[in-house]
Amino acid sequence: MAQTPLKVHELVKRFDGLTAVAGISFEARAGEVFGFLGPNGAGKTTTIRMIMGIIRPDAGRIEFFFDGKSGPLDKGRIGYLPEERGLYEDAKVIDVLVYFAELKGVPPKEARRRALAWLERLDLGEWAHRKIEKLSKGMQQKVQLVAAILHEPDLVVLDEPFAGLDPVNQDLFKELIRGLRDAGAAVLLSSHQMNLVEELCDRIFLIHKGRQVLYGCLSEIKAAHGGHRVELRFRGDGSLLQGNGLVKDLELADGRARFTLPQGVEPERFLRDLPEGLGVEEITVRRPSLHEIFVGVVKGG
Amino acid sequence: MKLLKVAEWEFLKIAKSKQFLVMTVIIPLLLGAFGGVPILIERLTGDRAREIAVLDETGAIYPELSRRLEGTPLRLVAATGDRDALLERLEAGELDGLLVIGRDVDETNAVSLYTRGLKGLVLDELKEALTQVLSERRLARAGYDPEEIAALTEEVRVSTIVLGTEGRTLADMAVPFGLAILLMIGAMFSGGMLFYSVIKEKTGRVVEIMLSSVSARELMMGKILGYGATSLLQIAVWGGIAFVIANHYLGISLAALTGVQLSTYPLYFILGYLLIATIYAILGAGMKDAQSGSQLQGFATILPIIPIMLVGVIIEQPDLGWVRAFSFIPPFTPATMMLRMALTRVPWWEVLASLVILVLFVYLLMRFAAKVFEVGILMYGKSATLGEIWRWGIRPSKEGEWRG
Repeated sequence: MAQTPLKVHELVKRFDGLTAVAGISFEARAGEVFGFLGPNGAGKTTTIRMIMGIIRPDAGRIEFFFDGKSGPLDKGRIGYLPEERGLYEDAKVIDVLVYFAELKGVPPKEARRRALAWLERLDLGEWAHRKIEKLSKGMQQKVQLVAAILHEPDLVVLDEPFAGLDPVNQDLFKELIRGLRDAGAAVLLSSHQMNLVEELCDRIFLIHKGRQVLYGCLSEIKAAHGGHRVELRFRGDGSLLQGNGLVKDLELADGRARFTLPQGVEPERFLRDLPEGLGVEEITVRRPSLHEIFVGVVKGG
Repeated sequence: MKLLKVAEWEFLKIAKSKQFLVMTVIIPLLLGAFGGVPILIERLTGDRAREIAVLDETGAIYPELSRRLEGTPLRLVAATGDRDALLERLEAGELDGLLVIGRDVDETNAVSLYTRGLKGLVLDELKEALTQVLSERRLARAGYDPEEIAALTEEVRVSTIVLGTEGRTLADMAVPFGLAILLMIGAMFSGGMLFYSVIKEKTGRVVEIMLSSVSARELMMGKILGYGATSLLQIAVWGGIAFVIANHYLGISLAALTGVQLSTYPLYFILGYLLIATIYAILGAGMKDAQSGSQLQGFATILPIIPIMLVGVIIEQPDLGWVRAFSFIPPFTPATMMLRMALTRVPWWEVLASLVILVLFVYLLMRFAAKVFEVGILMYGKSATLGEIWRWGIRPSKEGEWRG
């Protein structure tokens, strides 16, 4: 049975009469990447700040479990990469990393050893004794991530970790996040870029306007909100698709068609019954993306 | 302890910075040099500008006068010959002055001094020396012997004693007075640096990363402590330099400090610093950048040093009603009390009462600040109004519920 370092119950936060978080509950388990997803302004950062004890919930409970015991917020066991992040610009990389690790309770020597090892691993070894301000933005983001995990936390909270990263560093971050998960940490990954992170996530919580939209195992959610998305390129007559009982939400435009196969309709069946005269050049059939599911659920109510 | 770790970090960061070195070591040296420049110029130009030819028609006054003016910036040279010729030389700039002592000087009691301008001439010294030489001559003529004359004309020693100061001299007051001002300036200075540090941490978005390790309260207290330590270091350096200069040139020693001053000044300084630093922490947390803070910051800067600006009144009447009242209004207390105690004997109960009020006020202010800090440091891109700051500061704390 996997450990569950974080349980959130019925969390509520209001600002000046506006409800930012309206009673949400979820948990993050050890050895998984838990996606906390939703558009900007959905209440993600507010929820995370409550988890980190930075702001106070108006109602609800946050429980922490470390070493199998329920306990109070122990910042030394949690790593946090905030959305609003920066480092002391005029300090040296290594000094900043050691300082943050020491604040988390790591002895200075050990902190130094780990910091140098991480910097080496991220090709930043020669930057250890340079000032933060000399680093490029991407490098600074790597250092920020290292600062969040140097104390080997049981729970890692990452708020928009991919914001502003180039594709190469995005892949690097994904690999690091998988590494944390495989090492047994619970990773709470918050992002508005659903398509970017969905492949990383084991379970997800979709939040919109402070409320739960979807919550659970990613593959189950995909199956439950099934149907398949089809994209077609054709030479022939597109209107042949109209009126087809298997085709939903059809979008037609010069030689291209996009539509959904409703839940329960197997792609094989549709392919078998493809109308003659369509002249298919290219066809893609796939499960809907998380983003499409999200949009569907939010629109459909 | 995390608070101390934060304090250590802040202290080292500042103490190792170039600005700190400049402010702490170079500026006082410059100020010293600045103060020393006029004296230096005087010394360099003095020798040339004050060469005065003396045409002594009596022949007896010049040697005595010259002896008396030894060691002063005035240099006398004996002149002979024609007055008009000498005046021509003066006009040509070969001489800086011509003193003509007439043959009948004992009767007229008057001499003439020709110069091209009075600039740089210390006439008082010349006049005093002449008066003495002439009076001694008159006394000698009247039949007094040299010993009697010396006794009769002995110079009066003047010690300045300000009323109500129990016989303490100006020198005795200068040290505690200087120390009081030094301490207040040191506290202001470090408070100001704290303000910029909080703003910088906000605009640099370091705050939230810090808050993932320490509480807002620990962050604030650690910063206040760290900057307090830099302040102490700075005052030690400033005070050391000032003391060495004062001791060397003015013969002032630390013995001028009384036991009461030695025991209470550190308290007033610490409390005064905490008060100023806390106000700055509140402002820093509430402002979005240094510019929007500057007006309020100006106000906060002035508040605790108003007593120093009113120092003229306090020197003249340290026991005046409103000056005493100022001693019990917390932002004014440290400066007012230190200044008053430098100048006069303050009743022990006033000292005690002012300290008690100050401690209470600082405690409440820090509690208020911690709450403002919690909210304010996470507010980016927008400055808080004073009303908002007030509401944050007085909202009830519900710590047990969320911090655990």
